[in-house]
Amino acid sequence: MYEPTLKNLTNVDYGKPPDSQNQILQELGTPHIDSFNYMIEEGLNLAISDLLPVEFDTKGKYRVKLTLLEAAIHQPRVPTGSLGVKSHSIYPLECRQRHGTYSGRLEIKLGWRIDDVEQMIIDRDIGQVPIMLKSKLCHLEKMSPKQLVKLGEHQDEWGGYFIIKGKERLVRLLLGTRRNFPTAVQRNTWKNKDKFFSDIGILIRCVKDDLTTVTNNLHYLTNGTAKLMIPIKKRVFYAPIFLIMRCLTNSSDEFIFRHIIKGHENDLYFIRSVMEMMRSLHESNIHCQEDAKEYIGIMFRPRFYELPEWKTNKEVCDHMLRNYVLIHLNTDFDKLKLLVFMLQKLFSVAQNKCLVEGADGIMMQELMLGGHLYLKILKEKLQTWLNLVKINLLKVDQGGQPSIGDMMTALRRCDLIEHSMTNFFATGNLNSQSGLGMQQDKGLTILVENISRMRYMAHFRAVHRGAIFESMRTTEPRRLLPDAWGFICPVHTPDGTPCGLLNHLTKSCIVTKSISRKVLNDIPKVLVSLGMCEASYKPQDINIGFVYNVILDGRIIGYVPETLTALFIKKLRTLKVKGKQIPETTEIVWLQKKEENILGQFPGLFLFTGNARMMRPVFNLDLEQIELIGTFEQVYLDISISEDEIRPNITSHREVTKTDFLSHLACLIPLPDYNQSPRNMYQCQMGKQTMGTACHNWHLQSETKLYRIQTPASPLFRPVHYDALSMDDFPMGTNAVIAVISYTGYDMEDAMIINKMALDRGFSHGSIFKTELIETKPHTYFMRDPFKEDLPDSLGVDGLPHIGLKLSKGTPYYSYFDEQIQGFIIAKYLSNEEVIVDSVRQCGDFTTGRKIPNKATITVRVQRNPTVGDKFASRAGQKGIFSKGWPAEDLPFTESGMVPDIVFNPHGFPSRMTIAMMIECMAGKSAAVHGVVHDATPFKYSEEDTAIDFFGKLLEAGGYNYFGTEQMYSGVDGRAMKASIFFGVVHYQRLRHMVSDKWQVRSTGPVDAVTKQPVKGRKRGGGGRIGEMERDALISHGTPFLMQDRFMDCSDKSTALLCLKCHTILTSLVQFKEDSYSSKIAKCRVCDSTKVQEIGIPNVFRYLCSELAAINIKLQLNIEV
Amino acid sequence: MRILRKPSYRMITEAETPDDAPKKALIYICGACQAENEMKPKDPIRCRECGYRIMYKKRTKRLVVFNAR
Amino acid sequence: MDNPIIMNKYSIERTLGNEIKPYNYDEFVKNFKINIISRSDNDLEFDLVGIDVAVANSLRRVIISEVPSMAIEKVHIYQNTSYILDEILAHRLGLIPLKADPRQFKMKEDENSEPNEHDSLVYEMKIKCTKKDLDALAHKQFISFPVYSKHIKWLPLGNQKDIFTEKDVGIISDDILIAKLRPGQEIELKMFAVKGVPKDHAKFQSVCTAWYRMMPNIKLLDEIKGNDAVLLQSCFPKGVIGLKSVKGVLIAFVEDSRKDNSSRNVFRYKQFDNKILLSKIQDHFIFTIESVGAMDPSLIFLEALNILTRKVNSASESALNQTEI
Repeated sequence: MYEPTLKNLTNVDYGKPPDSQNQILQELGTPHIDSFNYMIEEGLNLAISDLLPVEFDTKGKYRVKLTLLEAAIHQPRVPTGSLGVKSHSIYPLECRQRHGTYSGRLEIKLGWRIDDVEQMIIDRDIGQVPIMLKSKLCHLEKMSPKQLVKLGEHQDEWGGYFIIKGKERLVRLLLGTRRNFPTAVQRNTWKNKDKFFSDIGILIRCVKDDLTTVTNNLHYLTNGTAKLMIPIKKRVFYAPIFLIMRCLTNSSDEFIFRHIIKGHENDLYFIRSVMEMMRSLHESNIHCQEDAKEYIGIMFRPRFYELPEWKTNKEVCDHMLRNYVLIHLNTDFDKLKLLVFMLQKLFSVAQNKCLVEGADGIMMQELMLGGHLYLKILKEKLQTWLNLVKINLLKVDQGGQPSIGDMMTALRRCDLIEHSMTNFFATGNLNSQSGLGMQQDKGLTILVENISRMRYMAHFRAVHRGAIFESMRTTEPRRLLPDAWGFICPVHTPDGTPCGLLNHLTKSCIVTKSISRKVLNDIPKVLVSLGMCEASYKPQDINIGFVYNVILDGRIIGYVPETLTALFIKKLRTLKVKGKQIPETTEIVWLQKKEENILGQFPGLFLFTGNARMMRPVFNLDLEQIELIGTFEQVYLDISISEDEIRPNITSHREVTKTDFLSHLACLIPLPDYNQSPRNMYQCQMGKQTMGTACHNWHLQSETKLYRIQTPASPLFRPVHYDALSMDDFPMGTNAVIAVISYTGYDMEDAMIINKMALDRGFSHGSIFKTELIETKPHTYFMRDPFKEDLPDSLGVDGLPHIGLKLSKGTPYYSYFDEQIQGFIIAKYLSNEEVIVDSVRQCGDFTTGRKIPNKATITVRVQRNPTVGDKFASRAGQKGIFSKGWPAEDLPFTESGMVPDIVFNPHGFPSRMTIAMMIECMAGKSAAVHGVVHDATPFKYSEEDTAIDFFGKLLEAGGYNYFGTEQMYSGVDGRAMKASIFFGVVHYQRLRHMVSDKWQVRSTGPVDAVTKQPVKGRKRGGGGRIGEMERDALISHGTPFLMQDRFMDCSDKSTALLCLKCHTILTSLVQFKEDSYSSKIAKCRVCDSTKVQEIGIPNVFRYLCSELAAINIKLQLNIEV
Repeated sequence: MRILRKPSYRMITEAETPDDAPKKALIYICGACQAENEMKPKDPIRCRECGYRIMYKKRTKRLVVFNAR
Repeated sequence: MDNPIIMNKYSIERTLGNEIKPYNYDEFVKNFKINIISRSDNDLEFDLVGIDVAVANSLRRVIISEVPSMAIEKVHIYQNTSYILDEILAHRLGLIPLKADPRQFKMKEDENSEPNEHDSLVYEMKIKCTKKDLDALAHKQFISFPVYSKHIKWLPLGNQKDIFTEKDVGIISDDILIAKLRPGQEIELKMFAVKGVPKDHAKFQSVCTAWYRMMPNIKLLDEIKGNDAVLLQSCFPKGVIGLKSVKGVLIAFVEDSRKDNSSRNVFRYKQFDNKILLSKIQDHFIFTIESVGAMDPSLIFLEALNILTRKVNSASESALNQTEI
């Protein structure tokens, strides 16, 4: 068994980059990178060939056809023609520092024909597109740690994200419906679609190899028919299922009928319904394939304005079927077979013969990955671009035959794809006409915040269920279902709005990548050799009993007789584990037919080989090898957790380790199995908010905000996973000596006191690094104003601050010369906090000349030593606010003269039940005494072999009390304390929430221009709001003067002149008396009355009066003088 | 933090445009090859050795006072 | 005073009765004793016998928080291109203990006044790492050049040169690691040390720590022999319980109860119930002072006594003045 060690503290090679990277950390980026690599290697050209050629007639009646032939993305490189550049590669660090985008050229080959005559192929760059770090196009892909460090990256850089305008952005992993599997779903909203619609339907999310997605639903109608939903450009259409089936085959009705009825010969209702549906098609005068295609062509023609008008109705129908109906299948017969299968399943579900599946379970889901989304977006953008070429060509068209020159002019006028791609990644907003089959178009990318190592890591494994569920009132999708075991961590989810929707993959969960086409094409042959019968054109006549359809990635390829299935699957699984003919990442799901009155899923034998599915390794007991299993597959396997739980002949698999169901972060909690469960969730959140060591290249960073703790320590009690993740390289806490005692009044309700002398010596000292990009207008340059004499104190001749300079409010920050106004502009530092200039960088660009803006980044650091109000937490979800730096002489001391760093209030334990923190206290003490680290891996201890006994004995051996308590003396009066005190070492984290960022105070200050009320917001110097509920409290408390003070006097008190005759405050004015210019008189401008009274009102009231006056409502004030 | 971008207007007569004022150089360090470059205002931001585009300002000897606490 | 504190499994029990005795000077003089147990350059352990806990604790508190010492207070950084940040470097330097005897200096009256020979010490550190320096350390496999406290130089102010040598006022030891440098990096700074009290900042502490514990007293109420005797011995630190062999049977006896650390592990075993009495003598304090090194621990104790006396005097003076009014 592996044990944690302190080797990192004593290793002579510490600090030297190792030869290879940490594999576990590399896997954080793998799913993202695999998806991107798939796009570059296969997806992009698949998508290109799937684009619809743009055909049109010019004014001179020349028929032009534009086709994209090829596209390729290049590595990030310096543009050609840059002078004096030694290295032509652009590395990520430069993009981060310059706030640029890490991108490469997108080059396409455009083919075009005039009147079917091939023209010269045009090569063209159509802009720079973002490139994922460590993908095949990234320079870092195969670099060793040493090379990475040399380029200013971290040795374990795992990539998977993009750098957009200097920010690291990651495409969020989204859970979506499993592709190419007809799922039986019950949705109440479906009932309201149209007449006869029921809540039952079969949903299939069809995904092509180029990741184009279309969802088709087969709805059950209460009149015994079925309709297929076809979504076209964000609108949906419902077609009778038999109309579509008729389009797909020219065979006789009897042929179709026998196909459908196969296996359901006894279901009279089904037979009747099918016959009825066939009859109604004939009643609408559609008798053959031609009729049906013609009909659909006419119906859909207006929707497909991109198709040229000379296409026949039949061609329109074919276009519709190819691109919008079961698009993962290429032949009509395959589509027909699947529709038949879906129809059978639909009627089976509708008659309650098998169960509804629902889309909320993990087993019915797969992931949406960054590279795949990238491909979808790029495909759409390329299609748009192709249409743009047409529009621009028509603009330059003079009526003659389009020449290559015309073409070049048109191309030059086309927008580059660059902007819209960058914009997508920078904002996460999808701007698409078709919607790309996505359920949301916002929040698709996230900023990879590097607050601490834990936060950074967690981003890459976070999976979101989708933004629409966040606003939904039902809690159904948030529920943790049993099938999530081993794939989704039950601990690591935030509380609050995203609870249960934002989850994290477990540490062992992998995401499948695409398998080679050759292997995939051979799978049917292999299956036949194992005993599968190939699906024939004609339905089987000989009765061989019940058969299971074999469905490979949504395509029915054959069937297996019921009696042979068990053996067939056993052989298949053996081949899968071997991983040659059948890929390792195949998911084998055998939905068995149940007994007569037991409901189950609709039977079938499903094989999935596609990408973006979640799988995890378990130990196959038969084959004694590790096997990857999928989310759907797992539901039908018997997996034991430990060796002694194995039931012979039933259990087929065993978990690899007991902690496989936890995420990386959950695995870093010491002994989570000893805590009350929500505490572990809290720790997962707080670990991510810890001020720690976010990076090693502080001097190279230009993140907006970075937190750094100064003297971190390696925890003395830690799970093995801590070492596996090399967390010692990014430490994030301090080992504090704690005494669990209610000693002062300053530690009530989660407050904690810290030894002042410990603070003096540097306990939890930290700083914040802030980087600001300064971009000045074109035609300027940085320079110090030579005529201002106080400037050299803070600025160099370059107009930028000295390094090491202390900046406070009003200090000159930078200065530049503006050629247009012929003057210097000096910017002052405006923040209230004193900072020190850490580094100053000037960033050049490739284009020369003054047209581009000047860029400089200034990094400043703020010292943030603990102050009263800062937040700390142990690793057991026990957070507390630092309430007072307590003098060391006043703190209690032990027999051996030890004084605690932190005094923890014992009332924090009973209700929270964080036993792990108590064990840690003992273990930390024992570790410190014996000079070792202790293992805190979950499930290490049991009821028979308790952790308390283990550490108690170690403490006893070290001369301490078995229970971890010590005799203490009061520091104030010096007497021995009556109770013995629980005393030990606990790893404490300092959280990033600090009062310095949050305090808010105001006496007078800025007011709103319209209402004259104090503004809100800390940044603007606004006040805290005394709102309605506070008002209620004041009323019920009976303090009207306080209310008057808060709501009037301290807010928007003003005086108004009220005309006692007109009863309004809007009409009176103070004017000079007519006869003299020395004395004034208040007079109503409407009635000329001088009976005017000055009253005190809130200013908003005047505003209200004016607003009402604007809509012809007069507000009368009747007051008694 | 927000930066005041109010220009300090100041008419400059032709004799004293900054182009004529003696340009003093500051040392900048190249982010790629660590070469020290003298950079004057208005100079293109580029390392003379390797053509790299990010230049770090070098710390000069100046007194800063700190409390040792 | 023989009313010891009885120790139970989880708590202690004060024997009630004559806990607060009327103060009697003659009796105090008769009973009061100081026994020095061990002393070395930096450590001192002694027994304070026959004194009230309040006095012992006052002394402890004064030693920890009020005995002054010299420490670096201001750092003038001229150049620092090392990876360690300016303010962190200054903080580290502040915590370096100095050898200077605080009694030879005055407290600085005005924080912002110019440092002079009576209230300040000035040090300087100028160091630049070259490739050569680092190569010289190659045999140690160092990848950076360590800056130690030996690189700090004392700069005499005024007539300090005549009074002190670098040995008297320098850094306490030569090998305190301050920073690590890579080739080309340099640090140049000046440090100003002043006299201060630890109440203000922990760096002014002249002790690492100072504390006392009450003298333990262990009584065996019954004979414990055989395996139980061995078990009993293991419940205490080494040397507390001795074993003697009487006719081939091991019998436990109390060898030196002073060495006990009140772990109370003995109460975990049923067989010792009512057979052993752990107690603490209330007026016998085992006092330990660990000096940082600038002053001899005994001098620190005397200094603390002086401060305490001054405090008592000023308190009694103001009390007297109060009554006059």
